[in-house]
Amino acid sequence: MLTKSKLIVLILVMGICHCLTAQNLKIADVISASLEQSGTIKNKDKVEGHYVLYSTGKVKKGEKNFTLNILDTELNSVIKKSIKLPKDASLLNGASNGTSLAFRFFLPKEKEILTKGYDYTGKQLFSKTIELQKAMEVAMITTNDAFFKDLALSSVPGYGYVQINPFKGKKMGYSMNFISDQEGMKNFSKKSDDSKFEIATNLCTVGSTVVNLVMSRDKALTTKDMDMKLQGIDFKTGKQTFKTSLKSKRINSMIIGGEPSPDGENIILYGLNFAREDKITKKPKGMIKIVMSKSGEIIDKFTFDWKGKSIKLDDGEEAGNLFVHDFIQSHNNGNTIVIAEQLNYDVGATVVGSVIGLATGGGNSFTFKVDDIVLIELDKEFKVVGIEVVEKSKNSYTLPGTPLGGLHIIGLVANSKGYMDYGYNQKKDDGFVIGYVNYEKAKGKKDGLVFGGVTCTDGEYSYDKIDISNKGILTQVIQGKTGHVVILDYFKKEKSLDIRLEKINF
Amino acid sequence: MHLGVYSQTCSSPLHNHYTPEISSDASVLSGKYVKQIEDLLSTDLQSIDHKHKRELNQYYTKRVESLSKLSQNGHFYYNKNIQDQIDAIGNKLVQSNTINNSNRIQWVINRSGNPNAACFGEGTLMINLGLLSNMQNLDQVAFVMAHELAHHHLNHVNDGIEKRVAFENSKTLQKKLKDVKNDKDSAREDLLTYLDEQQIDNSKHSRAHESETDKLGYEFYTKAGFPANQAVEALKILKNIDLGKYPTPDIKTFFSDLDLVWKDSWTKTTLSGLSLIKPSEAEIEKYRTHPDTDKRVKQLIELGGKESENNLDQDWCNQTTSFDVEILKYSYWAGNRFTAFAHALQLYEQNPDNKFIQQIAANCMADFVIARDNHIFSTIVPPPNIKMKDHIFDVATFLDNINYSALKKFSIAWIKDKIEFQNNEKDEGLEALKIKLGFLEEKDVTQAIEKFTSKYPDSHYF
Repeated sequence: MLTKSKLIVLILVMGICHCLTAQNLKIADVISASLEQSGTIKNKDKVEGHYVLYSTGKVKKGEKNFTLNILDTELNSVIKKSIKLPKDASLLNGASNGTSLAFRFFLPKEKEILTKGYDYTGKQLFSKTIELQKAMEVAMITTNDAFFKDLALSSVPGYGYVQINPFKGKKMGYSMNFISDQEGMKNFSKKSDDSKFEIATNLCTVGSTVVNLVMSRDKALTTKDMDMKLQGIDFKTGKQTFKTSLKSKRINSMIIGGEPSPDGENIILYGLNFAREDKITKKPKGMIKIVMSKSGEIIDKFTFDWKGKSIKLDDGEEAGNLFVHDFIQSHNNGNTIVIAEQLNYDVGATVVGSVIGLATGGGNSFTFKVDDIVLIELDKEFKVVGIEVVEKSKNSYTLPGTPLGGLHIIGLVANSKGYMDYGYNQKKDDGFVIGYVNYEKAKGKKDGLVFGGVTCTDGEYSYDKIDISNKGILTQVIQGKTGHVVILDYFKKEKSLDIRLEKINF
Repeated sequence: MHLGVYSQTCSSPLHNHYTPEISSDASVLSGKYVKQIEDLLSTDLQSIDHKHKRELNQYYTKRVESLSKLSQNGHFYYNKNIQDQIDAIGNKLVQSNTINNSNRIQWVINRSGNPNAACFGEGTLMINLGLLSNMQNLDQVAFVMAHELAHHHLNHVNDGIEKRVAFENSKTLQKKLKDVKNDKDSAREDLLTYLDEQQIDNSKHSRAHESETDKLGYEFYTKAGFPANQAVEALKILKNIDLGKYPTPDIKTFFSDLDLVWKDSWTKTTLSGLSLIKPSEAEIEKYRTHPDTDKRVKQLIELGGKESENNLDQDWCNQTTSFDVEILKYSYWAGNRFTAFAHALQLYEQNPDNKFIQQIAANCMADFVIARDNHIFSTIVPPPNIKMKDHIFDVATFLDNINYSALKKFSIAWIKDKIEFQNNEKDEGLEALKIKLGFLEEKDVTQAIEKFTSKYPDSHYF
């Protein structure tokens, strides 16, 4: 399941995202200068392979020849494509829909997004260019790469791909492009309502129906409550099949993820639930599970309220503030696993500023602490049936500005900057796996980065850690096939990139 | 299943306490071999008359250095009995034919299980134990040897080195390299395309050479009085060599003595999508260095070769089983735990009570558990790949699918069930596992740790 919470932070902090992501850009520069781009190819939740893009030399002034090396899940090179691109092109993300592959490039000078599709023999199926019209659109691509890498390209098995790009009309919005990999099927696109601030993300697909979450505000981004709508678009016809406003159903929630129900008949949506009168920048009162039909009708909903249900840890202490990352719908028993991370912060001496989220003026800053991961198991009725605490080293970070939007907003910002440790989750037939990266400070050991894997098999938890420090000058961890992790080490002197697939022990 | 092949499998049961022999005169034989190739090298280097003398000198020197290292470091099989048989065939072939530089010829046997043979050009002709093990009789071995002898006679290797040196020094290549250095437009892409074209061209020439060598080898073979039908049978075995000599082992049966819960999902492949992509036939053909074996068999039949049945020579087969155990020992000794384990499973199925096979399997399992503990598993076990041979693929799938705690449980149970621990047991992997099981005295632990950590410097198991 994809984490959608990053969407909200984008809207809330859009005005200051240059500042927030400056370090990200710096990191990205290091990567592009050496490791180039690499990542995981996913078909929905399933890892299908990996990609590595590297330059194989200049073609002519300003243009380079790149090799796109596509690896299978066992790291065998299966397709090598030679692509001529502007020298500063970067690969944003890759996806697979089970029969084809799609890759999304950003061409900064041309201010274009280039999406290329290939079949499994490497034959090109499509090449689509989207021009970014405004500086704001370019800024959103370049300054929030993590956000766009995760969310902007989704696969629709049997039909093609959906990509969502920023689109600045009268107000900030989105363009949603449906690119078919099937012969005879037309491409089409949808744009946001120009009279509103809108942003959208793909939640899941059920057959040919692409289910999206559209969040909109009538006026300025930071002043009014946000309206959340669930939207269904049929890839076959290009028509909108439903658009359901949560507000109209008296639901005040921020949807984080969605997936088809186990029988494929309905859509299950998960999110944070807020008091009816509260803005979604306030502390959520709990969590919500919504069951929606394929035609957009809300069939059922279940809620869990934090009030009176403090989470106790093994040592009797309370879990404290939990930032919810994601939800997993268990294959086994239909229960839901909530993945949360403990987060606490200390406000600096002077509190200034009045903008929800972060105010960067006045040289203020605040420190927050990222602690253990907490997994909460909820039954079908959304009642707590189990809690698992994944202990890891506490790490502190400092952000500029003043935290006025509550801990949840701090979590969203921290998460978008990559300060939180949780990485991903994967389902397996008898449970699930969770991956995180933690800067570990253990007694008798040198401090360093570790990859942590938590595996739940038939309800039993087991833990594993892989030391990922002290290898190359640059190390990257990406999601591998179920129960595996891929570790990339770049060695500058040798100009070599070591990629290894490691099993997560359980 | 490949029953058609196994009906002709050349093997025999092993005694429960059979262990591979250790040759007492290996160092003497190795010394003799190394001295001869070094002496010949000195002569060769003095007589090079070529415009790229320096480069040729380097190639010839490196060749002999590599062969010397292989011999001195224990990669060759110095077993007097088999060496005598090979030398006898070699002499028969040489005496019945006129072979260029026949005084240089030295036959050596490599302990590798890879079913291959090679001509090195300076006089060394090498056959791997893996190839000998697959042959059904000595006549088939003679055909393989005649083929390598033909390469030697036709000077293919040295011609190839000269051609390579000429290519490396060619104006075209030098210019392309210079263009890359100067970052000229499309220079790197041009160079890669050029190198790829050269490789395809080399493969084409190599296929032509092999075809020529098959013909001449067959001529040497028949002139020496070996039966024509076994030449065809030898090629047919080579055609199916990827299927392996033994049936694909049933991994579940291997652990069946243990009272533990088995999951069938461990042996089911999880490969899908991109992992199932195979290179196209055209792509394989482009880079193939040998002609298609069907075409080679057809060519031999046109030259008078015949097919035959009942080719097994039981005396030879008894020997090949000992080769299989030697290959097992070598794979483990050379650090190839995965290959050793896969081979041990095959041999165990045929010889479930043989202590040596049990011991190697135990050592491998101990190493797998320790490697998983230390997250160095991927450095000793490859993930499953559809290009693997069937039995290798099955073992890779099993080791990929089984979770750590089950692997540990099964390994410990199997080791406890099969292995009688002795005080002089010094294998690093097994020792480490014994520590884990609490089988070792405290005083032995320090030594075991030192051995283990020197072998796996990145480990933090202890």
